[in-house]
Amino acid sequence: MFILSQLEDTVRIAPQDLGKPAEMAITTAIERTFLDKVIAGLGLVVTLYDILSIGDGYVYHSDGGAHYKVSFRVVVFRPFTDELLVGKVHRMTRDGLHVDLGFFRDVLIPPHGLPEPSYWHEDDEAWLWRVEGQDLFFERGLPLRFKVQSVRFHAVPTLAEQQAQKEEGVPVLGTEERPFVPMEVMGRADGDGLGMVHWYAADGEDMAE
Amino acid sequence: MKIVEENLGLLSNDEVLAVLKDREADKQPVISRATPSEIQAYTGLLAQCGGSYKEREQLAAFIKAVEPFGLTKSEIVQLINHRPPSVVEIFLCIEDCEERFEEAQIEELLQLIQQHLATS
Repeated sequence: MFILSQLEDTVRIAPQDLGKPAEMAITTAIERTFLDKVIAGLGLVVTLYDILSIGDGYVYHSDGGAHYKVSFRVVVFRPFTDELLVGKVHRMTRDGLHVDLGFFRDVLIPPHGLPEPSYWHEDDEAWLWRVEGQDLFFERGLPLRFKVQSVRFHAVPTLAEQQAQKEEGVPVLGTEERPFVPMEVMGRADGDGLGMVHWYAADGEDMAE
Repeated sequence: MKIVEENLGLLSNDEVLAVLKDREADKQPVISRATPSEIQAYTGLLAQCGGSYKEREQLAAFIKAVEPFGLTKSEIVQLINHRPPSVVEIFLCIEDCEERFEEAQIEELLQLIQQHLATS
């Protein structure tokens, strides 16, 4: 679910942008700094809602830019525990299902969050749920209904940490083989009405017949 | 950066879509003022809503109509986001639905959703 948050930040306007109207230059600067970024402990900033106030522009010695204290509101995506969400399955691995919400892709449904009993199908590289002797597959590219279990924020890896990982020989966080994820949503799809959306649509048709 | 107020209020998908449209996220990337991420969020959310979203007044009418049910704010927002078409889905949006409401009330709620939020 989305929330509205009020933030305050000091925005620096570079000398070459001082000729532009202050509002416009500041809006651009805020967009660049905050949009599509995760604020730790808050969530993913989706868009700028409005600018509440712009303070006086301060100029410091040895810096040609003007510094404005700006108060503004942003729309933040922050799922809460037990919230119902629908997203498309975009990847399946032994670690679980990776779900894409359209604007946020770091959602994981771990194996223990899948309906019991679920199995990993090696040949098809897919998860399946065995229900009443029938195999129901989780399918890529189709919508999945799930509930949020937890939201985790990860701190940006420091150079020292990356160096240590390199020496240990484990994949370095923040590289291609182990991408850094600032906000991770864990979900579960075990329960009435949860799981692939098309499972339930098919059931409904059967009942109607 | 300082977080002055973490949560000023919940927004439903429809309201976020309205904000994004104001930011020109509905236009083609080449002529739009919006950032690519905003355009992506707009298209993604719009697809979930079934192609069109409701205006504030329509949402306000729905919220007023469900007032007697005594739902929490987050439950109402979930109802607006998902527009549950059947009893199974309504159970997912509302906590302890079975104990709090009788069958007739759930039917009534489904009808209100249909009446106020159906995508035409």
